[in-house]
Amino acid sequence: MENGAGIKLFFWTGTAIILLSVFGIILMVLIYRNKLYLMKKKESETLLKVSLETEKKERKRIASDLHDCVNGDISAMKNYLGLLLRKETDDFKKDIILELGKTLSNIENISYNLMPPTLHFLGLISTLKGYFERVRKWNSIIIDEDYYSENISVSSSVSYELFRVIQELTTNMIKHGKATRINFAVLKKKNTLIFEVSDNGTSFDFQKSLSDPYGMGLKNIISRIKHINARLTQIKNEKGNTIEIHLKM
Amino acid sequence: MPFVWLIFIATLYEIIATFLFKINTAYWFQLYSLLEFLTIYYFFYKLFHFTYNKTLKLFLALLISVYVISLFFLDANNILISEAINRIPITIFSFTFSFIWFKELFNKMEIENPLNYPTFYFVSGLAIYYSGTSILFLISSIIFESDSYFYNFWTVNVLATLFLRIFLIIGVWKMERE
Repeated sequence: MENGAGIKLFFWTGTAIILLSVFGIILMVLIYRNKLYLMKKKESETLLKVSLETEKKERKRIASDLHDCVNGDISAMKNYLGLLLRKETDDFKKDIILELGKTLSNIENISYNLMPPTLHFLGLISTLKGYFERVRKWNSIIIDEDYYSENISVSSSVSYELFRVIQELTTNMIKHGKATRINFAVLKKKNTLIFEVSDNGTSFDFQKSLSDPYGMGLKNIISRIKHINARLTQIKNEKGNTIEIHLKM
Repeated sequence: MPFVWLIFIATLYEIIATFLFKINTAYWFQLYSLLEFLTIYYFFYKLFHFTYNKTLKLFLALLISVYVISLFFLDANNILISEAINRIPITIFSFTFSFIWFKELFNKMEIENPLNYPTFYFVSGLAIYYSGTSILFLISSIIFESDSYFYNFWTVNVLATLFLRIFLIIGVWKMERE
């Protein structure tokens, strides 16, 4: 310690310690904020997963209640009335049976939209085919379908989310885009499944419409896509819209 | 806050007593060590007395014992020996509780942004100050004897004090904003 070099060494050591402490604290803040960001991201993902699962369960429960209880009761009432009014000639009274028939059909439709019964048993492709058949029946629209295979191997929870996304997209195309023709295709490229929906309706920018506070449907699409680890892309068209969902198998 | 007040009083005292009246500051520095410890102890006590009561009591006993020992080494012509003795426990104390604070910060993850939290600046300021000056005070007596480099070396203390005061100012500013 008697020479100046030794003291200078301590001087620089002290300065280095101070500067290292400052950088250490800055680093600690950065690590902390990064950790907090990851934690919140994970939290929101869990929350999203739980809310989607809960929604699915609730839909299933309401659909089955409607189908098994309400539909069953109305069917019984229709049968009783049919027996009571067997010899009835008054058309007004017979109209009651017709109205009950319409109510049954409406309930069946609501129940189907809440949770298609075929999704779990027959899979996504059959459900989509049934769904498009219904859309054709209820709307004056042409729908072209193209499936690379009749069976695709995706889990029932992924199938459910995909069905909801396709349902929301086609509903939007008919309701907001005033489309008269929809093309739907399921393709396979290497190990990726591509669900392509295109229409001839009013063009819209998906990302731009997402910022619209009332665009809940689109936000739900993004949440569902994120939930199943898929990717949604919009292909720019001169007329109409083309949206692709890429799902790694 | 008591620590901020102590620094304010110490700065005033050093300007008035040392520069204007040329009073020997040895006794003031000895008293300052005690006040410094008590104010920092009060700060950490307020933060941790529910969870680390035993550790705090142990440190209080250690710091008072060391302070009493330092009185035996008190020399009006060379206060640095007594200062160095007092510096050891207060450095360990500040490091221990700064570490605990950061550990709890990461364990609880309750604060959105530490940069908006006044305690972060106080704890960080203390940790930086004591990390930089601990070596200096431990060897200060030796440096003082080889007087030609004393003032160069003392720059480390000035730098550390500068950081401490900047952090305290930001901390007080954040407190006012809260």
